[in-house]
Order: sequence, then structure tokens, then C-alpha cells
Amino acid sequence: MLTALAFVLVSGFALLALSQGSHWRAAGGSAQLPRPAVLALRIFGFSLLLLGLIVAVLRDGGGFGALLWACLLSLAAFAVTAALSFHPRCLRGLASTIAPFGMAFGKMPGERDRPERPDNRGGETKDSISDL
Amino acid sequence: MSWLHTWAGVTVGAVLFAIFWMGTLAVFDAEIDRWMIPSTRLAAMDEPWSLDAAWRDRAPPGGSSVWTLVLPTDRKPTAELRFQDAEGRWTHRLIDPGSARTLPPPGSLAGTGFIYPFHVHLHIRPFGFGYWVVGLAGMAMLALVVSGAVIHRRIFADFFSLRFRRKRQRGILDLHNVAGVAALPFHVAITLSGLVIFLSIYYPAIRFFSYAGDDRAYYSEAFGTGSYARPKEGRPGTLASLDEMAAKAREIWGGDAVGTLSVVHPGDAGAFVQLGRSVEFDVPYNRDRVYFDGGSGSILSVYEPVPASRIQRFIAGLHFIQFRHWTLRWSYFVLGLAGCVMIATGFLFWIESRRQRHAKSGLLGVRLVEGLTVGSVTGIVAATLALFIANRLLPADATLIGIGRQALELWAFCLIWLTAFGHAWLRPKWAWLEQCRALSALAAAAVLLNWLTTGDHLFRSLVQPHLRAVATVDAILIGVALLGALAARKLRQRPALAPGDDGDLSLTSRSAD
Repeated sequence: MLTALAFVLVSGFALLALSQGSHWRAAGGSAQLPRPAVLALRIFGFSLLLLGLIVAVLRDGGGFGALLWACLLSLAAFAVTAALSFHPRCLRGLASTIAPFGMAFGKMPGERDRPERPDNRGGETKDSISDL
Repeated sequence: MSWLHTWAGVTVGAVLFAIFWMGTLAVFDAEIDRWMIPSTRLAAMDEPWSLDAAWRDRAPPGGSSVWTLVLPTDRKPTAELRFQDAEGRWTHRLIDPGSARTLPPPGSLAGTGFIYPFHVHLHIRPFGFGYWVVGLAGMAMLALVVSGAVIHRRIFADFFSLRFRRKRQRGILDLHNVAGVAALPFHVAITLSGLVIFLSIYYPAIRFFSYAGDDRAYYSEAFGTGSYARPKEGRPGTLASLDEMAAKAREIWGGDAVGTLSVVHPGDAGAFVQLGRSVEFDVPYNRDRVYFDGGSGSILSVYEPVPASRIQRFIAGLHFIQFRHWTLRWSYFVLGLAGCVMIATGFLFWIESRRQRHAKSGLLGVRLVEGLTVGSVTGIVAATLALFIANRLLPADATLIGIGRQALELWAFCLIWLTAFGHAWLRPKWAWLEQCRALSALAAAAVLLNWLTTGDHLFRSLVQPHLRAVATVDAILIGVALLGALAARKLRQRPALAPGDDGDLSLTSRSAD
């Protein structure tokens, strides 16, 4: 159950990370994800994190379960951050699975093409705080 | 907010690192005890220990007002006896439950005696001053965490960002932010719960106003201390079966084991027995008690905490982490280290972002703070390793100019710590590199010395369950050694530290990136 919990939390954070432009590109995603796909990734990501709480409480009861979830959340965040920093290709598999679904969201009717924002600092773009 | 974060960090950071470092080690304080006191590396017992047998073998000499037995747990295989000896002095003995023999005096404060109290009150005992220093540091920590979150403008966008390949300042700041934000629940919960533990010290007004100054009533209701008492009768009496009393207590507690046993007025007809519930099986660091009449074994009183106490015990329990949950224990250790990284990188960022400016205008700030940082980060780690090494090197009956073995270990700690500060201020350009190398060497030496002096090397301790504690500490020491070597290597690669180059680090470091 512990491995399942770890998997759920790491996946949740991985989805949340991939919903951010610079990390999506670092994991090998080509184009910019359309807005609905970004939203879907974030909803799924947060849902997985909440699912983790249920799994933790089922495993260890209320008191220990809540503590376990809170601790493993942080550890999962560290794991995803480390993967993105040292070995972004770990997330390549996940990114390529998501890509067709993301592209399938496509353009909303009437939406114009948004120009690609230029990468002027080697992969770093100015994600605005309104992204989340 | 930025001003608050920066100034609180620089002034309180050194104390905070010490508290966080010792706290992180204290997660494994019982394991450190096993490592530093080899005579306690005992196998766990197959069957629970008979309390009646313990009483029969160990009843105190006449005159002791209380006889207390702390039962073994899975992390502490020894039992502890506390009683007054024939001269009325309080003594305590460690017992091997398997063979029922008394263990020799430990000769070392080890984890539970030095490292854990260091975290609690920095060993500043007069007037309880240490509790206040730690409490104020804790409040500063909360202010730091909140102000840090507020000034971190891109807290969501940078949540997963660790940009090492950019400028060094970017990498340090990113590490500081990730260590802080990703582990934010832990940092807030640990700091707040630490303060809540000592609410009796920080909120004396509770006793004055809610209990009309009656300390005894307050402690009795809040913590169960002395919630039942009766005087001696002055005539001799016998004790009923302690094991039967334990069974009744366990029924009341829903199956949880007994943690402590106290016989008050032993040998007297008015003796009564206090059984304390184990804290291993649930989060709250409970103080549940059942009181039994000594002669008949009937229940006299059951201490039930009031709801406010239950909450305080839960919060205290999640900080004390005395429960049996190995995933949580290791999680706390890693997250505690993240806190140490957060504090250290905070200092590093402050230094790096002001280095050029201070060098140009002749301000002493960077020099002072850098010396302080090296001393309080690598310095305290080196001092801890020196404690371990001294523990392995000193013979059991060591004394030096009247200082006993226990104190000699602490002298090693203090002297190495002071040396680290001196080294940092005297050799600023080389301090980090040399201290990282020293850490690596000291940690490796400690592992080696454990092997040489006790024979319980890692391959043996990993295989035998009762030596798991030793394996834990050895593994952590090896981790420190590797980390120190890695850090030293990275520092050595900075062009400014090429041999013969005594140039100003601040001017060359920027071009290196």
C-alpha cells in the first residue's frame, strides 16, 4: 500500500509539473499545451494528491494517515523536482502519453492561433503567476 | 516583508540551524544511544517481561518514596529503574530484560542525554533560559516561513524549479525555495507543535487566571501529574500481582501495552501503583494513567484527559515522534534535513548576493556572516562527529584532570565547534572546502571506529535485527561522508580555488558560471 501511495502522489505532482510550460518542454513535449489540457492536467494532478490522502488514511487510520500523507506529499514533490532537474527524461514517457490527449483538446471554436512565446533564456520563460 | 525575512534569518539562523540539526538527529536518538553505548545493543525479548519478576528481583532498599520502571520498547531494548538509594539519592539503572542483569553505567550521554536535550533547551539550564531561547527561535522561524512565502512571488511557477546550470545565486535560491516550499507543511507543523509542547512555560497566565494560581490543579488536569495521591500508612504491606494490574489496565486502554510502572510508598501498606500507557501505538504522546491499590490490586482512579489536553497531546505527539512508525520516522529525518538545507542555503544566498557589494565598500557584513555560517553549519556537524569519535576512542573509565568520561565527550564537541568558528574566521576563502573535507574524513573515521571497537560493521548490523539501530547510524554517517566528499569536489572545481590562486573569490566566481 505504501508503494501505491508513493506512486499516486508522485504521479499527481508529475502531472502538475507537466502542466507548467517550461517543465512540459523539458520533458520533451513539443508544442505549447492548449489551455484546456493544462486545466485538465491540474485537475487530475490535484485529484491524485487528494486520492493519496484517502489511501494514507485507509492504510494507517486517521492520525497516522494524515501525518503520513503530509510527509509523503513533500517527499513526492522533492522527487519530481529532482527528476526534472537532473533527469527530465524520466517524465518523457508520461509526457508522450499525455500529448495526443492534449492535442485532441485542440482549439476552442473561434480561438485564434497564439504565437509561440520565444525562449530567450535557454528554456526559461516568464510563467506569470496567473498560470496557477 | 523582505526586510523581516532577511534580518530574522541572519540574526537567528545560526541558532535555528543548531535546533534543526539536533532535532533531525534526535529523530534517531535511541538509535544513537545503541551506537554510542554498545552494552545496550540487546536483542528484543520474545515474550513480554514479567513485572512481578522485575519487582521480586529489584525491589528497592527501604526508604525509597517511589520506585519506577520504564519498560523496554522496540527502539529501546533496555529497561530503566529509578529509585532512591539507601542514602536517599535518586539513582537510575539500566537493566537487560532478557537476563535481568544490571548493565554497567553508560559513561556517555549519547542521543537521549545530549543530542535531544540540546534540541530542547540548548543545554542552557539556568532559570530555564534555554527554553526561552528555543521558543523565541521558534517564533522567529514561523515569521521566517510566513514572510518567505509572501516574498516568494513565483511560488507556484517555481514550485518544481531547481536551476543549477544558471548562475550560482539562482541555484542556491532555488534550492532554498524548494526546500522551504515543498516541505512547508512539515516546517510549519514542526515549529508550531514544538511551541505548543511548552505551553506551560510560554503561557504561565493559564495557571494564574484559570486555576487561581494552583499549579497542582493545573498540572493534574492538563497532564495527569499527581492526579491521584495518598500518604503512607506507616506499617508494612505486600504488593499484589503487578501483572494482573497490567492486564486490567490494558483492558481499559483497548489493548495498548504498559509503558511505565511506578510503585509509590513501596513496602508500605498504603502503597499504590501507577501504570502509564505506552506511547508507541498512536500519535498522541499520551499521559493516560491507571492507579491501583498496592495491597489488593483494585483500581483506585483512572486519569482521563480533558478535550483540550487531548488536542495538546496529539500536537505534542506529532512533534515527539515516539510512536512506532518507521516510514514516518525516516520521513521526518529527511524533511528535517530539508529544513537544515533551507537554513544553510538561506545564509549562502545572503552571502553571495552581497559579496561583491561588501567587498567594494569595505563592509564587514559578508565576512562576519560567512564565518558565522561556516561555523554553525559545517561546524556543528563536525562537532557532532567529534562527539561520536570521542565516544569510540575514550576508554570506559577515562578521566582527565578530574573530568569524567561523559564530560570529556562534551568537551570534544565544544572544542571542535569553537575550532570550526575560528577556522572559518581565520581562513575564509578555504573554510568551506576544508570543513567539507573534514566532515567527510570524520564521518568515515566514526564508522571505522565503530567497526574496530565493537566489531558490529555494516554488513553484520544490516543482517541482525537487534543491530538495526547501529546500521541506521552507520548508514547516516556514510551518507555524511559521501555528501562531504561530493561538496568538497564541487567546491574544488571552482576556478577561483586553483592552487596558488589567492585572488578575490567574489570577482572570479561570477565569471565561472
